[in-house]
Amino acid sequence: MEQEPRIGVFICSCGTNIGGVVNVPEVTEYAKTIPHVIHADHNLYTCSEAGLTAIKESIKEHNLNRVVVASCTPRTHEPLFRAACREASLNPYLFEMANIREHVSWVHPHDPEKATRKAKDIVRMAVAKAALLEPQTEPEVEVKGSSLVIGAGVAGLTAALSMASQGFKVYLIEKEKELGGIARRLYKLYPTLADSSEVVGPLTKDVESHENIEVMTSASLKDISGYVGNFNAVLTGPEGDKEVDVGTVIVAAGSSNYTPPKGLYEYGVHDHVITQGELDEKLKKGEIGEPERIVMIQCVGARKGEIRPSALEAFPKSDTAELLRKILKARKEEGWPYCSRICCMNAIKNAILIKEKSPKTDVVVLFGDLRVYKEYEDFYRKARDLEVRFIRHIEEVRPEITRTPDGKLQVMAYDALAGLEVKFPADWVVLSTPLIPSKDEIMLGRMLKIPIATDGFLMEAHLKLRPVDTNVDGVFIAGTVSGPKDVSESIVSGEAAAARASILMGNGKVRTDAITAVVDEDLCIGCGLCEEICPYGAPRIEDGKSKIREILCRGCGSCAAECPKRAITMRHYGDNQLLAQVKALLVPQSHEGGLT
Amino acid sequence: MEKAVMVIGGGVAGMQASLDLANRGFKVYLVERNPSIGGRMAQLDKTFPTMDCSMCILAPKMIECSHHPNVQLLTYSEIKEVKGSVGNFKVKVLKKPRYVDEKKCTGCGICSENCPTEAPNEFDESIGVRKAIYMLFPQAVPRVAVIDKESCVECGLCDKVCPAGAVNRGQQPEEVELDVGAIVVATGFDMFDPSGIPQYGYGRFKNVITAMELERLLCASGPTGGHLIRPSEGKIPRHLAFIQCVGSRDRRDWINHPYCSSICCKYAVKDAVLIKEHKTDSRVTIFYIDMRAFGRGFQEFVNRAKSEFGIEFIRSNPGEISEDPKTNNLAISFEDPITRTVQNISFDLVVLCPALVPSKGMPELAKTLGMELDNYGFVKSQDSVRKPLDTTVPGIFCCGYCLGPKTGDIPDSITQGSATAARVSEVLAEEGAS
Amino acid sequence: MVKENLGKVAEGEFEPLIIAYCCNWCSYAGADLAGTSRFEYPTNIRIIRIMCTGRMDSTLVLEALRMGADGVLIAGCHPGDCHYQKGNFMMEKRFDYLKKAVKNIGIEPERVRLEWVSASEGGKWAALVREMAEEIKQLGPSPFRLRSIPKKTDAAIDAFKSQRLRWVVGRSQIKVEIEEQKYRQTVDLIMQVEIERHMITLALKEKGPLTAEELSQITGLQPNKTMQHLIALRRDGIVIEAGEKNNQYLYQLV
Repeated sequence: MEQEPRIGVFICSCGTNIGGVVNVPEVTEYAKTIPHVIHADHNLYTCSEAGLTAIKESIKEHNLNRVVVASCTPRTHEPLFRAACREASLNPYLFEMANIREHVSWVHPHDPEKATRKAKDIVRMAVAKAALLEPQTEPEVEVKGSSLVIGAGVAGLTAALSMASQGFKVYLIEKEKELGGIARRLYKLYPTLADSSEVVGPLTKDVESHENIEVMTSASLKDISGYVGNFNAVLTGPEGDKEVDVGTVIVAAGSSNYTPPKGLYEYGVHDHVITQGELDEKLKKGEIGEPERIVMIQCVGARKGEIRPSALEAFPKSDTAELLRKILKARKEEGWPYCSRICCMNAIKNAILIKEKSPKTDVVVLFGDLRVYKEYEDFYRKARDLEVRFIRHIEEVRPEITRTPDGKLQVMAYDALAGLEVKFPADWVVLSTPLIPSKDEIMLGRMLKIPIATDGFLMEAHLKLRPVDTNVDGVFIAGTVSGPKDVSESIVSGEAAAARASILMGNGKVRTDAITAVVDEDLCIGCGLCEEICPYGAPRIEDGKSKIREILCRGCGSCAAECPKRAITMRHYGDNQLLAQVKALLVPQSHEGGLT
Repeated sequence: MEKAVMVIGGGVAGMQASLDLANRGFKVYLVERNPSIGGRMAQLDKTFPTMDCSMCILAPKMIECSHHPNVQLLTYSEIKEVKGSVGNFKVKVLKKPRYVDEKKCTGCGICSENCPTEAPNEFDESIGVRKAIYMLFPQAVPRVAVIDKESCVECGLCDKVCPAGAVNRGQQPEEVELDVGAIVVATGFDMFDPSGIPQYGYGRFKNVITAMELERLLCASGPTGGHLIRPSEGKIPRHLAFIQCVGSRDRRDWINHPYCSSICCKYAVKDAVLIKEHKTDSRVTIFYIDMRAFGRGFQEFVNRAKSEFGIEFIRSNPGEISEDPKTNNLAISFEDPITRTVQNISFDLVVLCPALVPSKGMPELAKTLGMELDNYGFVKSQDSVRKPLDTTVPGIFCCGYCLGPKTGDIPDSITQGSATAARVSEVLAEEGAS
Repeated sequence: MVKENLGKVAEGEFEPLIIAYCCNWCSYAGADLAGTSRFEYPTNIRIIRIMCTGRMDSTLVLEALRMGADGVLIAGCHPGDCHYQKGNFMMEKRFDYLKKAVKNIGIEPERVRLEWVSASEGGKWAALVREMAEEIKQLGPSPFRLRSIPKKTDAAIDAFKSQRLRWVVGRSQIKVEIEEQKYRQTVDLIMQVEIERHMITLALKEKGPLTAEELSQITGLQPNKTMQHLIALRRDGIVIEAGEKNNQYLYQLV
């Protein structure tokens, strides 16, 4: 090392997020005793403008050549602190972060003493790594001005159109024969009651006629390789395989409608028990007519969370044993844990459509909570004005299908308002089922390495802040692949994904991480193991030595772990840097000096 | 040269739109009425359902806005006049005087320390006080002080102590003229004043507070350093209630907010969990009409709130709150959903979750921009399904809660922010082509 | 800190120190999610961020154990989810051999674990830490903390740094030409031999020159085995005779 490390440590209280558990002043004082630490201080929020200014000023004042921030996760905040270092003319790779929030204060709230000790350990480990950090230069990668959009529902169509109209080439693939996705099969859309075709039709037409968009139907993604800016995708369709090179990818493959298992509410047994989606199609074809009564059951297969036995108390007037049996049965009912967001409005919409056509038909909607969010409250009002009956059953006790004495379908439920069992003979029973993750979506997630969240949908890079970005640079998500959305919400997310992708393509280049492999040519014997191991083809043996092509290297480090001569090291994650952390933790007294 | 774009409102939606546009290569003027960008999200303690600390995840975005070479911040500024049409808007912006030189002020805070005059701290929902020369909140962007002339007594001490010589009490309003190709409106929301529902006693009973006041009381950088207290005497409340739909879903003509505000159920559950985390022996009850926990991860969060944190949910819309004048405790009377009888439960603190309403300046801004508003005073979409973010004026777009409750939460605001950036790029690309 | 913990061992309040190498994309994010979801778990874990478990050189685990870690956890993406396609598979293969080496040097294999935790499994992360901390508490402090570290440990680390062992392990990541079972047995044997030979070279480095008998006493290897290794080491140009003692040859490092 040319220069003796001069490390500044900045410890964040994060309001009380860290400071409420970890003794931040104590950790700060402790940090001052760690070898190479020239300066240590703490702030209420290190990420605030004031905190960043303090870092920048300290770099100048104390002539710091390394910076450690002990605060939250580097996964969200590292870029910010690195930028601050850069502004103070310190190479951003001379920065290290100690995560004492997600990994300490938030998980050990009831043990401040041990949490403080752990925070000290983590700070010491970070300092040890920082002392060995080296400046790095981030390679610049070209971004192709083209995008692959997977899925031609409203989200995919919107995204494709947006990018195309900004001058980018778009390849749009759709697994079905026709464009339009789920929305194509819908009848009317809430809250305008416009024909779905009025939305899908023009979108499809614009996409099909746009010179920048190449559409492939009955097609799917067969294989994809590459990285941000330079993806190589193999598309497969009726006319065989086609290879395309694109800069970005938008996954808008949609979701599926949940189909209840045969027998649940007699679905698949009685042909007048249908799903809300099937009702949509029947309304479109005019197959419902003017029946006496239609009963809709909400949350079939959705919100299958926990069930509280305390719900029993709600029904003093009913037979408790019988209720318990039903609760146990509901508990076994298969389904998804989340709320599908759009079913309440869908039910109301179809109820209105029925009532407008056949005012005499009694429409009953059985629900646990009616989640008519937004201004759709007006829409709900309209349904009530049309005398649609909304009946709240207690969540824990699902309605049941029975028969009237003359063999007609009958729905039995516990009316929460009346505290009584109610029975409705029905001509049609309509089940509101959730949108669920589709097999295609999960396959695509796997292929593209987008994590799948616990609800089964694709996971965004940050639930709050980066709703259409993914963990994979250059790959974005739109529409219902990241959870249920209505048509309007899908359109907005399609626009948003297009905006994020267009930034990359518009700039034409992007800097990638400097975390790549380096070969020590003196040690390398040119055995070629690295060449064979690397999933990206980054190493190549030339003149008997391995040469790593930086642009291709993604930094996984598998070659370094396997190199027989230990000739390959990883930038920013070298063996020495990792072991320095281990050593700082376990052998702190010999913090200085190499390993023996 | 790419055209410039103006973004009105520096909350999370406006910031996202600005950053996406700036990164796309547009020059962006981000106009904010307050002395700092950050918006409502800056006031929140945590965000649901991930419990991320709101400021922690927001601050990097705020800083990115202030450092981005393509973003010019115009804080403490208002739109005065807009002329022209898509591709060629001419906008006059009024920069209100801060009485502090933006270029000289370093944000050291010495002026505020010395200032003898105090005023209610609006950022803390007026729970605490600030000085007449102040910064809106500790992480304010830009880090520049501002003098509130209404409370300033012109004593001149700030001028004397400022090491940078930044105080300029003679500063005049400044008018800036800008040429922009498109405009993004992201002016956010205000909160319904619950004193409009006298039965709940807000304003009369000290221990009836709003959800935003609670956020500030829970927040570490808030007036109590994150310690939840009863305003009446500073005791720690042990038995708390939340009342949902205060002013929302309410058709009474003197209130007239028939819509669901979309976020109250979710933040109430979040706040309830936060309170339980702080003081595990607290009892928290939420009175609600429908538990509208839609949105990703939220149903699961509500389930946990019930089973793991023991939050009590009562499906009832309370009729009245009364105060025990001796203890300042509050009795909520409501119809028990099970027994159908009127019950009374006593609480230490009651939190009202008021409707979100259009921001105060909305009608005037709409007039200036020539765009239509909907029945409730939010920005009207050109087509609520097909073009939800296009206003009725070509070239003017809209994102965030100024569109009304169709913007459910922070991710919705951000998605819309990004989406308006795409709409602007599309429209200006077409303009450029024609 | 180790001292503090060792002090507590005597008082019967043993708090294990566990090192967790977490991949950036799944497990580190999973641990973050445990934080944001406020899933509580014991304070015994210290996370070191790596980009991918594929990067985990076996020596990184052995060194940590040598330095007294009570446990080492390697956590990565679920099979098929690796951000880099197959890094976790490579780790999994390596882990088989690593675990044998751990046992070989006298550490309970349960102290070293390879687990898959995705970015959405905050709960799983917390449960995993809870379980591992409890298990290691039951096992007690690392044997290396209580008594001196056997030379075998250093020999094992050296073995995992040797070209010979690294090559055969590395090859198994790509394609094994012969029957897999047989290949594994060969690698196991090479590992064993390399550890033993490195015990000999370490002894010679410290105390040489030594006779085969002396080496056998120091290393605890059978005399005939010691001699076989010396012959091989001699062939590889690593040791050479250096005089005689008690009617035996003395050996020293070249």
